[in-house]
Order: sequence, then C-alpha cells, then structure tokens
Amino acid sequence: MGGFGVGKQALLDALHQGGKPNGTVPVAPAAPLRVGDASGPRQLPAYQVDVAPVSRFVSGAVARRMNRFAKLAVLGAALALEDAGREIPPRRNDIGLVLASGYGASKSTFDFLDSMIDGEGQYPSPTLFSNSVHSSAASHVSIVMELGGPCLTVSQFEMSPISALLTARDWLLEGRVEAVLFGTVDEICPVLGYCYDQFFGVHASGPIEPFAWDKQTAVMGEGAAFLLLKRGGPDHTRYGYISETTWTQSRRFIPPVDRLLVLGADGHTCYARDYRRLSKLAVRSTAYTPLYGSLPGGQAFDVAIAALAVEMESERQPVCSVKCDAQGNCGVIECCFGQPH
Amino acid sequence: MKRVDQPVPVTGLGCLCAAGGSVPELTDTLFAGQRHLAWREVRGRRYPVFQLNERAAPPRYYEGPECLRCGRLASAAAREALAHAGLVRANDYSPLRDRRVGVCLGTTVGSAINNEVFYRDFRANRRPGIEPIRQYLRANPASMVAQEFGLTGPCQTITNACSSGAAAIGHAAGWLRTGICDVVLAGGADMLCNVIHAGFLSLLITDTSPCKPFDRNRRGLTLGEGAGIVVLESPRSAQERKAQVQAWLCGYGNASDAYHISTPEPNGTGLRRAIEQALAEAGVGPQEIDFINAHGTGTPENDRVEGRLFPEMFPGTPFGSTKGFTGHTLGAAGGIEAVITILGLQRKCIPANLGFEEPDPEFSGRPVTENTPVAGRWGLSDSVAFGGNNVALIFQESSR
Amino acid sequence: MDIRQRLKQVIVEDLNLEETTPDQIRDDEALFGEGIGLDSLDAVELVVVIKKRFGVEIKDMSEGRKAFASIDSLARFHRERMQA
Repeated sequence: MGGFGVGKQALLDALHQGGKPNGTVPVAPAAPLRVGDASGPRQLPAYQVDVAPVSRFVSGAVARRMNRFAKLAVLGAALALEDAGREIPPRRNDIGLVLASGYGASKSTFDFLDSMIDGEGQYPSPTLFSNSVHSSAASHVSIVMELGGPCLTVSQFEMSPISALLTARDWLLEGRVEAVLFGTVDEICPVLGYCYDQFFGVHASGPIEPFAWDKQTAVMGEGAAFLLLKRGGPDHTRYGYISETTWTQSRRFIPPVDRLLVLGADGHTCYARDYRRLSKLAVRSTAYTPLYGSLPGGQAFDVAIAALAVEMESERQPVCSVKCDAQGNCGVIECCFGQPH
Repeated sequence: MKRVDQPVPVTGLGCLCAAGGSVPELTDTLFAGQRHLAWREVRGRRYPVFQLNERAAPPRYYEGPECLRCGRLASAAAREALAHAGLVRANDYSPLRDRRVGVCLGTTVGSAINNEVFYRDFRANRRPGIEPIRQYLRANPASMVAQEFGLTGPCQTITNACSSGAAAIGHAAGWLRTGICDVVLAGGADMLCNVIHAGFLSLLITDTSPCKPFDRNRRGLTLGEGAGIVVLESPRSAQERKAQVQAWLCGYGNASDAYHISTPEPNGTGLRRAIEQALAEAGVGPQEIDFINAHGTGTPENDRVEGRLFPEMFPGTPFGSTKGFTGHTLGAAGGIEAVITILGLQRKCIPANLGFEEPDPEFSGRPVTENTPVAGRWGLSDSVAFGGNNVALIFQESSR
Repeated sequence: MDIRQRLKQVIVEDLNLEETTPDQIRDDEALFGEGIGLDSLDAVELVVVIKKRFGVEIKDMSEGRKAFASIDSLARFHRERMQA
C-alpha cells in the first residue's frame, strides 16, 4: 500500500496509469490561527495511505492500541498472507517475521514527547511509550497473525530493505523457518514535512523526476510492502524468485547486462551520481519511484513490482533492483522469472 | 527442517558499561562483587542508574550531540574487540579492508529520533534549525562503526527492543555461515536517555533502589548504558590467521510470544521455544548446559517467567542475572551478557546475582548468591524483549 | 456529572475502548480480566489518566489493583482521597 492505494490491484493500476502524490503535509505544526488569518501552514505534496481498510482484518477492540505505523504493518502483513493463501506453512511458528523501517515509529516517539511536555514531565503515557519503540509494529503483527516464530525489526535508513532481506535469506537457508513474512513500513509525520521544507524548500514539491540527475525533485512517501518468501523449489512460483541479495558499494557495482535495472532513484540529488553511473552501465533501466514516492523502504516496492510483472507475464526479463545511500552503500536485489541456477 | 550445525568462532571481546571501561575491568568488577551506581533525578525523585564513569567513557562522549553516543559506545567496544582478536595492530585498521567485515548491532535509543529541545521548538512553531536531524541521520550505530573503521560489509541495526543485542549475534553467525562475510562485529549499544527513562517510569517498572533480580521484593529494573561487542569470524578466516578462539557460538534461538505489546507471556512458552531452538542447533541437551546468564531485569513479570522456566527446563543448573552490575542496558544487554557468558566459560566461574536476598514463593528458581564455580563447557544466555521477542544464545568453551 | 459517570467516560475515551460505551459498564463490573477486559498496560495508563483527570495519585500497582477493581471501587478511592 502507498500513495497509489491499498492492495495489489491498486499498484497494478498505478503501473498502467502512472502515479502521483495524493495528499499534502503541512510544513509546520498547525499553529493557532489568528482572527482574520485564514492561511494555515504551507503544504507539501505527499504520497499517503489511508489505513482504514485494516478494519477488514482486525476489530476495533484489537486495534484500539495500534498506532498508525502498526496499522500500516498489520494491513501489509494481512494482505500478503491473504494473497499467499495455500502457500502459508501450516504451522504459524514456522514463519519468520522480518520488518524493515527507515525511521521506525517516529510519529509515536513525538506523540510520547507531546505527552511528556504537556504533562510537564509528570504524566507521559505508557501506552504511547510502548508503541514508540521500533519493535512495536512487529509485536502487533505477531499478535494479530499469531506468528510465534523468529522476529526481527531492522532500522538502517535507505539500506533497511537489503539489510533485513539478508537475514530473511539466512533464516531460509539455515532452515530456521519454512517461510519469512518480509515487509517494509515507513510513515510520514509532521516533523518529516518540516524537514523536507527545511532541507529542500521549493524543490520538495515534485513531481519526482528520477532521471533528472541534477535536480532535487523528491516527494515524501509512506506505505508498506510485504512479501511472503520461501525456499526455492522445483515448482514454478506465481511471483518468481529472488536470486541475489547483495550489500555492496555503489562505485564498485557493475549491473548485469541481461537484466532490467530498476533504480531506487527518487529525486534526491545526494545519491544521484551513483544512480547516473549505474544507469549508464545498464542496457535498460527504469525507476518506479513516481508511483510510490520517496521513502527509505522503497526498494521493497520495486521487488513487489518485479513480482507482479512475473505474475502478469508482462516481463520475462530478469530484474536487478538497486538502492543507493548517501554513504556510498548499494543494496542489490535480483528477481527472476524461472528458478535461479 | 534442515538445522544449522556449524559452530562459529568468537575471536574477540569488547565491552564497556558501568561495571568497567574494558573487558578486564568488567571482569574485576564482576568477580569482586562491586557495584558502581550513579543517581539521576527524574520527576523530582531520585533513581539509581548504571552510568559509565568518566574515565571509562569514549573520547568526546559527553561533548557533541547526544544522539551520536550509542555509535561512540559501539565504536569503543568494537575497537577493543578488534584489538583483542588481533585483527588490527596499534590503531592500524587497514588489515580490515582486505576482508569482508559486517556490522550487526542492537540498540534502542540509537535509532530513535527523540531530541526534546528540537521537538519543543518545532511544536511551538519556533522553526528550529535542522542540525539535530542531520545528526540523527549520521547516528545509526552500525553505520557509525562501519565508517569509523572503514568497513564496507553489510550493516544491520536491530531494533527488537531488549533482545536486540543477542539477536544481532545470532544473525551475524548467519552472515558467516552463508558466506557473505569473513568477519562480523556483533552485539549492541545503548545509552542513558531521559525520554526512555520517562517511558519506563510511566510503565511503573523502574525501581527506586538498585534492581533486585529474582528477589521477592523486586520492584523493577534499573537502567544502564554501555556496549558489548564480539568478533565473530568464519572458521576458515580464523584458521588461516591462526586466531585464538575465545569461545564458539553454537546455538541461536529466536521466538515470539505473540501475546502482548508490553507484558511477557506468563508461561514463558516463547522463551522456551527460543531456548529449545538454540539447544537443537548446538546439538546438546538441557543437562549439558553448565550455567545460564539470565535476562533477570528485576521486574516482577520477567523474573517470574524465568524463575519458573529455568528449574523446569534445567533442574539444578546454576543461573544468575548480571543486571545488578550493569543495569538494564536495553539493546546492549544481549551483547554485554554474551561477553559475560564467555568470561564464565573461560574462568569456569560465574558471578553472584547481586541484589538477591529473599526468595520469591511464587517460583522455585534461586539465582547464585556468590561467585560459583561451574564446569564451564556450555553456557546459555537469554534475552527477553518488551513486545514479546525472546532470544537464546549458546556458547561452548574454546577447547571443543 | 456523577463521579461514576465521569469515570466511565474517561475510561472509554482515554483507554480508547473502541467497542464499549460508558453506559455498557456496570458500576460493580470487573474492569480487568473477565468483564470489561482491561489489561496490565491499561492499568498503568489508568494511573496516568486518573492523576491527569482527577488529580489523584496512585503510588504503585498494589494500591492500583485495589482501586481499579470496579467503577464502584474507583469512585470510593476517589472520595477517600478527596476527603483526606
């Protein structure tokens, strides 16, 4: 789910029709308006999610203590398991849960600070505190989905998806689990709106131009992408395979020639140089960031799109997804149609 | 299910916490039964904390932005561990560049954006400068360690709450077994932070006197800070450079309660599963475990779960919590306690569980009350997180 | 408003009891476990809520457990504190 909507079909529709920001975020906290002053804080475009559909999977009583970040995670997890159907291992404890997030539940951290400041240090809310720790979303998912297997939350900024995926892969290879529910979750909060404005000013309004290397065009996004991963077997799978997961350095990486290179380029100039170099080395390259926006977990969306392409049989060429960060690291995830050698 | 059974050598140890600025200092403190406490005033009440003393703190620790402290703690512990492993010589870190070295670290504070001054200004629409945000974006503990030593392998900052440090060590072993690294710096780092302190106070699980793990009158945890890091190495890399093996990591288990966001499942079924996985992976039975480094935070719920489970699973096996020396260091705890567990294997002795006086009639488990000799072939360390994640690690002595 | 009514309203609103209305809570009904179904996290939240809304401090959970048994016991606790 993302600015394009909720569910696989919404993402497919966006692939066909193109995507664009669907909401706005104020660049300052909503300050009290003076009489006669109708102008609220300036707004920036954003790719936002309506988490209301989570009620299809959990009752209000169960969701009463979930923050929005946890709802994004629970909704993403529930949709992936619903879609996986018969692929789900019969014993829930054989499913590992791996959750990656760039900044974690930062909105709840600020809400907890609100409760500290408003209560003058006397009455911060323990419920807000419990939900502000990064692992709380995974806790909610494990409770709702009854997943008693191993659990991991990773927070590695842009490299969160690849870092978490390395461990998901290990768990499968080591035989620790039969399947891994892997997901990334990122949430927009008011402080992020302020930061975009402070960092990028007029350049934070988009639209995202992933290949305009010298232009800052990133538009903030939020959302969740979840995949159920299993060990490769002889059978054809609906969504293909992940054949490589590699953490490397952008300047060292040479994209394979037989693959469509999917760049995580999202309009940030801080790593545009690396993407430019990679795209020059590739035979074909593309970027899907205009569909879902700029967010640390974006690479998981690119993998989900590659999987959908396999299902639709629209793309038989293997895909190589790359995500670069400002420190020169590069996460490489290769996806292919048939079983990897 | 296929099980992993390749032990991974631990070739270096690094640690700093309130009980000492290095592994030798920590060892002295533990076996001398000493405790170094500081006090902090929060909401008009004084609370004990296990704070690093100034001599033990890394250079520039108290200068500069607070959010970089976790990374600095981690770097300091990593420096000690790398030197101990003989992977670097006299501040020459270039030998590391020829190897694929990863960093896998647990933390809680180190990944949270909770700058109170910035947020107060933001809230009041005083338009604060964004330098604190830039600092936060540089403060990822695993990335900080990688940059400090010029490492280019994978980085993973684990935010599983209090089981993070132990999980990091388990995952690092996976990176070595599947061949994506030759060496991994693994463990955890966490710092004392007012916001987190306020959170634990609001949960009413913070004692106003130093924590009393497993004692009948325990009132909660005492927060601490520090970092504990081990060097894990592929057997081949260790063999090639004839590294001295400190211990072997033989078992890792990780399981979730799937029960409640702030309370452990009272029967400890998740913790039991994690321990059973670790035992199966190590290929040993419960009777072969010579001692247990318990999570033992001193909260009523946590200690009840462990105090019931240990006598059931490991009848007669000595166990103790070392939180009475280190405090609860959250994401660092699993790293620090892995170091302490390995020290137990090497010295064939485990330290007294400080703070325990009166047995709790609600469970039969009794921690060791003095330094206790152990056979020291196999040691278990468990970590239990807020939110229901449980991790167990099993180490074997070096002469296997 | 009657103190019992106010307590019920605060519990429903501040603990975010999505599917319960104040009228559904009986004065003598158990708030925790069977009954309304509050749990340990609600208990510590309630300590904060009672202090914030009514100015009454509950020092620890042994005091809280008695006070939080039901709306009746909470009202009694509140009255005793107000008189003290």
